[in-house]
Amino acid sequence: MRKLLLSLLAMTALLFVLDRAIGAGLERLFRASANPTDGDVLGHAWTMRAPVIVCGASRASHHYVSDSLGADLGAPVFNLGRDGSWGAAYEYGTAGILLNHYTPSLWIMDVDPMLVRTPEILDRLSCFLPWAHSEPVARELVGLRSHWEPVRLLSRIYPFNSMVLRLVAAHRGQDAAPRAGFLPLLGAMSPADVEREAVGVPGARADLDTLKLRFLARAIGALHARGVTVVAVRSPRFVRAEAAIARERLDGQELEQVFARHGVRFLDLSSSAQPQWADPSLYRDASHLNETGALRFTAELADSLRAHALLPAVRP
Amino acid sequence: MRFNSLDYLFFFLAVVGPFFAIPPRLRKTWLLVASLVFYMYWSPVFILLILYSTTIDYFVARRLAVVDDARARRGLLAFSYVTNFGALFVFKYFDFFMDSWAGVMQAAGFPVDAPALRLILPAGISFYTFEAISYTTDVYYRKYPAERDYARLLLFIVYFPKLIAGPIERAWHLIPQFERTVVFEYARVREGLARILWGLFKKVVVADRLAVYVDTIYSHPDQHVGSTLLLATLFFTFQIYCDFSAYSDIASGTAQVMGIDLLRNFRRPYFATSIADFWSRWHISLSTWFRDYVYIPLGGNRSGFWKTNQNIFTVFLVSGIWHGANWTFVIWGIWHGVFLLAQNILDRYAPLFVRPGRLSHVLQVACTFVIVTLSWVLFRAASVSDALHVYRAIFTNFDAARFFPGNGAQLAYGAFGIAVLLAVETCTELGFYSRFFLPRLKPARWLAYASVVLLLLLIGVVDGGQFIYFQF
Repeated sequence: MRKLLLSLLAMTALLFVLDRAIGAGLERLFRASANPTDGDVLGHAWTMRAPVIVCGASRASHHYVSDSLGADLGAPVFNLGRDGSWGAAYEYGTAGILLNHYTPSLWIMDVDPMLVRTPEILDRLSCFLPWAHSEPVARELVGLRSHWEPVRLLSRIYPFNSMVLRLVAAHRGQDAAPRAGFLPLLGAMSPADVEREAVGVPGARADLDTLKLRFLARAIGALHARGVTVVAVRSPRFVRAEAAIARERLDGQELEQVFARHGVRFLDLSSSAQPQWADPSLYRDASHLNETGALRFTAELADSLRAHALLPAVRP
Repeated sequence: MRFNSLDYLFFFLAVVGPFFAIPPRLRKTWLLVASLVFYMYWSPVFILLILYSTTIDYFVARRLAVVDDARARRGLLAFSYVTNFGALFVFKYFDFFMDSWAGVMQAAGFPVDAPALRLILPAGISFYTFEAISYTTDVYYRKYPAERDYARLLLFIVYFPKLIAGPIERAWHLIPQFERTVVFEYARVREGLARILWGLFKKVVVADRLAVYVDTIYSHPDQHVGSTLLLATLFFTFQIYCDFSAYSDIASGTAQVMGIDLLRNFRRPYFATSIADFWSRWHISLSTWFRDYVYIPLGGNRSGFWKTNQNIFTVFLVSGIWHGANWTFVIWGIWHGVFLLAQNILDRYAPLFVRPGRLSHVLQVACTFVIVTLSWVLFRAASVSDALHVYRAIFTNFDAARFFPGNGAQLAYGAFGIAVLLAVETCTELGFYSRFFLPRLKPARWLAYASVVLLLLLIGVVDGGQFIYFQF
């Protein structure tokens, strides 16, 4: 028994040292990378102290051209959009971490029904793992995944689980370099995709998720408490079928009501509200604008923000 | 409670620590309590089903021990079979048979509304049912005495390491081991822990990682070309092996730490040189169960060539049904039966005179691997039509240009896991592990253990899925 305990003790010590060393190496790679998926995008945002933040899922990441919007608004913009279908917990986590470091002036939420509908996928909150050691909000969100998270976080490698290859690739410059968080999509929809959308029937409408609604309220509450202006924007999606257009209108009305309850202006720039977005050459796929579409959308958004006097205040 | 969870790690520590601390006479009781807690952690109510069938088997066996009348003995055995197989049928097969019957009636022009129970399948029911059946059958044939101690019989059924997915134990093998006084042995405990670690690697790093790609492709096989489906099938070949053998490794390792040897379940099956050889290496405890309780009672190989082959075919048909209530599993069983039959017929009537050598050995292994890999399509596909689509695509619509790579990092992690697995298994198959690694290279061994832990943290799928065989 004594021999085994000693062996296990020695093994634990060895693992502790290796875990710390490898974890530190991975953290270094992570901090150096601005890749929205596997990089310290939040760290880059707070280092830049951009007065305007764009937040949301892949549609945010590919639709809001940070430098172009920044030039139009006269203030730097950082895009925190992240590939994947993210709910309100991502907004809450991102806002909570960023507010710990500085206070932006304008917070643009790219929204769609997924923000508040369908259950929050708690496993996805692993995206906050790299900040769990230093940020209470990240720790809170990560803790929702499993009651064992505090134990797992004893490891320094664990926050970077499954990221090693991407981090090394980013370090070697093999990753697409984002422009202040914006990742352009190239190419256009295929005729077959356009045809499919013409006859597409939307699936059953999911229920509003109380957890997502709670996170949305907390995110907006935290931003408002620090004097940040919040705007909810619905960017275009390629919809052509009558049923899909009707559904999009219905979703738009609902989102407007949700944000009105929180005192947040809702700007509907979707294709059902703005017919000029029905042009398929502006899209990479039905859900995402290509770079041309993104540039046009960003210009239109800047006009809309100006029209509603939602310009970022210049802070000292 | 999943073996690949921290819940199990702490459960294991909480069971093993006191196991060595308490007096040996209390250890059986301790293991029984631990096993019941382990099972009830998932769903407390289904323990009643185990208690019900075990109680009946206990009394049936006690009667079999004292009754000599052949008819009465057959009746008692039948009662045990009806109880055990009845529960299995109701929970696992009732809906399948009803759906199939409704399908047949509809095809015949008589549509019917088939009743459906839609019951949750109790965890491990296929495994503990077979163990219970083997116990009463052995008592019936007087190969094993009827158990006097109810708690010991219950422990045999619910012993937690093998309860959910085997190995399928036999009373003669496991029960006597509960009576041994286990002393703490460093080498045995270390080997057990190493086995658990290797099992975790196979499950968390290899199987669950490959599952991400396989699940993506097989959830919509109609949207993919043959090249993609072939890679997904190849990945599934390693996923299913790593997933199931990982469970067996963790189960055997856990038991080994506590001084109990479970039956061996796997012996590097993808190194098999024929389908018969494959089945002597894959899920060995099930193969031997079918040999002892189906094949031999049917007559085995004592009634001539064709009757032997008929018995073999029956075994594989039943084996397919055992795996799951779906026609895909039935056809999967038939597939293996047919290839075994073909091998037997070839051996008898047209034997190939291949000079034994390294090349012929490699070719035999490769051929067997291809046959087994293609059979996994049936195992993984959700329906027969999906499986047919996969076969069609692989052979007629390969289209490498439209190959779907998915997430490149996922593929790389999966390929790395397979490479490590194959390297270790090749070394073991060639005897390097037992000749060099185990006795001599102590620092290398500990470094290997540490590397496995680090790999679990670096590229393991945390909170991965259930073990595939839990559904059976």
